[in-house]
Amino acid sequence: MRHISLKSSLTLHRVLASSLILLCFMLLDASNSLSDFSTQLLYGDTSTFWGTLNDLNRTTYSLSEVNEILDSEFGIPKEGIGRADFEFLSDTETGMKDYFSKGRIGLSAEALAGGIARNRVFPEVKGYGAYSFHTEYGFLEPYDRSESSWNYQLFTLLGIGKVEMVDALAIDLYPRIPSVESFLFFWGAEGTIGYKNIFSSTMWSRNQIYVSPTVFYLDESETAKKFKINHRKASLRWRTESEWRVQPFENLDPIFELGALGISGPQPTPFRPLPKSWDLIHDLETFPSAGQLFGIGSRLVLRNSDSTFSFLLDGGFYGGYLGAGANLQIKNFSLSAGSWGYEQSSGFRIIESRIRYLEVGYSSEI
Amino acid sequence: MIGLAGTFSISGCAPSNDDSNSEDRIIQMLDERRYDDVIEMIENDPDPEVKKTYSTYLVQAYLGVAHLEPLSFSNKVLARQSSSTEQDVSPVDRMIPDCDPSAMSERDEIDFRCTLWRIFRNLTRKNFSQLERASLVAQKYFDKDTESTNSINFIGAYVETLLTLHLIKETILYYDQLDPIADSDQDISALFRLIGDTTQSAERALSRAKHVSQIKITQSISGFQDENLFTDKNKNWSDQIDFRNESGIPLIRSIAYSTSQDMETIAGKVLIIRELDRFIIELSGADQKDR
Repeated sequence: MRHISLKSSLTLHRVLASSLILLCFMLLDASNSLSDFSTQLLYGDTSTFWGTLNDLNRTTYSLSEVNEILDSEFGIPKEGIGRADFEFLSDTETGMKDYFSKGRIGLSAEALAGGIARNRVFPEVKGYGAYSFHTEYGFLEPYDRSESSWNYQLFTLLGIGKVEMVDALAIDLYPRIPSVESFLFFWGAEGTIGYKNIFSSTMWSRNQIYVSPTVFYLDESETAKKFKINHRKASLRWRTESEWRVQPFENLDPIFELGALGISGPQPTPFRPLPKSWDLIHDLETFPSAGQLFGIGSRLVLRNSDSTFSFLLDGGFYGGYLGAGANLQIKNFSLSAGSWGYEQSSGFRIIESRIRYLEVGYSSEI
Repeated sequence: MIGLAGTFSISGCAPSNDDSNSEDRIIQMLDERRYDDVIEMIENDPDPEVKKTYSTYLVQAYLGVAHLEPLSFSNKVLARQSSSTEQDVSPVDRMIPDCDPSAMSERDEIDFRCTLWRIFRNLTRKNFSQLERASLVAQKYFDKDTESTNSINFIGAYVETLLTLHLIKETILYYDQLDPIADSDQDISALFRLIGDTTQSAERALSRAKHVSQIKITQSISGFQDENLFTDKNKNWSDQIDFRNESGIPLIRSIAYSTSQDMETIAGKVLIIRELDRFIIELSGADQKDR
């Protein structure tokens, strides 16, 4: 059995537009040749700091104008993200079959743009735009739906892209915004191991550990020159996730479930919309302050027994910020929306980046 | 549960990141204009290393308390100035008369005399002590000009420039109300102490400024124009940065002249007083009228 899924996570208009076009093609293609197909599309906050920088660029550099533009921006990060994912799964038949039942290839296009102005005395302006594309390939062994089982996944990833950055005192913005454009190259791996324990027909738990080391390289040399590394950054995303689910009422259809979720690690939210380049741009720390490493919340699930309909509602206090999200799945289509807060500093509740998103998707077995 | 337990144990092994947390908190307070909190946090820390580490933020907090953030201060200088009533003419207005109080654009031609009038009006005695404190912190904790970063030298140059201007204002106002015949030697000595402080501050300002790219200095002082109080766009920057070079504008010339004189000798004092007189005449606009 092969499995294909396409997922797009979008917050920037241009990524949204291109993904919608891609989605249309996929749906057309699916209707013509595939018996069963699924897709997802996500849309989020579109406000980005580049609007502010463009405003600065357009001004005639009157001090009052610069002051006015920056005045409302201090300490408030603006960020937009976009992502389009394509995933292909296939049963393994030889070689790794004893360890992993499926092989996986993933393709992702991601965008991250934003910025922040800080310090009212001598203002510092940081702006960034990162656009990247990466591939993931590896193997996985999914949970067994009917009995207690292990899940493990191992992927490698390889990506390229472009990063544009501004990091300057406000006064340096004249006579033009001193942005630096770099070629981005990154590689890494993702590993997951988890165990789902089914205690009874009405109760189960899932415990999972995820680790993803990535090394980023930035090349700021001019195109005519040889590739030259100007910046290297290694990041380690990790998380542990514990979920307990119970059906308080038996023999209901649709089935109603209550869940409790505990997550730890950087960016501990149930939904993970952040692109890989986030780690580079925000200089992700493996162990930031303890307060932003933990999240707890509850989960309500309404689903029917043949998995053609489900509605999931998440809410809780994750990484220092309240957040909520919902997911609706009807047959092969899904729709997700939510709002989660992410800490941009290494401290606790200092600089909140609030990501609001909308995702639609479709997935299918072919 | 297993995962959370694992996380607790992993986090226990993690290195401390208190320093970056503190820096983030300080910047957050600067964003929110909580300057007193920044000063209290850094000044009251028993660890002397903390003051050294965060000295640039401490200096900025003192500037904030004094309402001397560069952008908003420049805006205040450019904005419409309040008019003195006939009965209550401020000493600065009396010293530098006939300046248009209406709002000024950065694109307007800079009139040195009236720009100085605007700056003097916005440098009040209330913010002088904070500025002095900022200067003392910078002198104590900032590395030597050549070893400091561009930004630190820029902050240092800005603080000392404002302090110099403040001291010039104090000097000329003090000199203006002195009666050389009736006043005591002590009063005269106080004048020369003020001149001494002014020249030392100017020395520090220009020493820092030498290590900052020209564009930052010109923008900060003139509001993104090519010309400004300290330089002449027709002259080479490196020639002008040496303020002892007497080709500069009157303010620089006067300070340069003062520092070149020996204030301990009567001849030196006479020359300085003569230079001060000349400067005050230039400020009053009398020399232009004579022409």
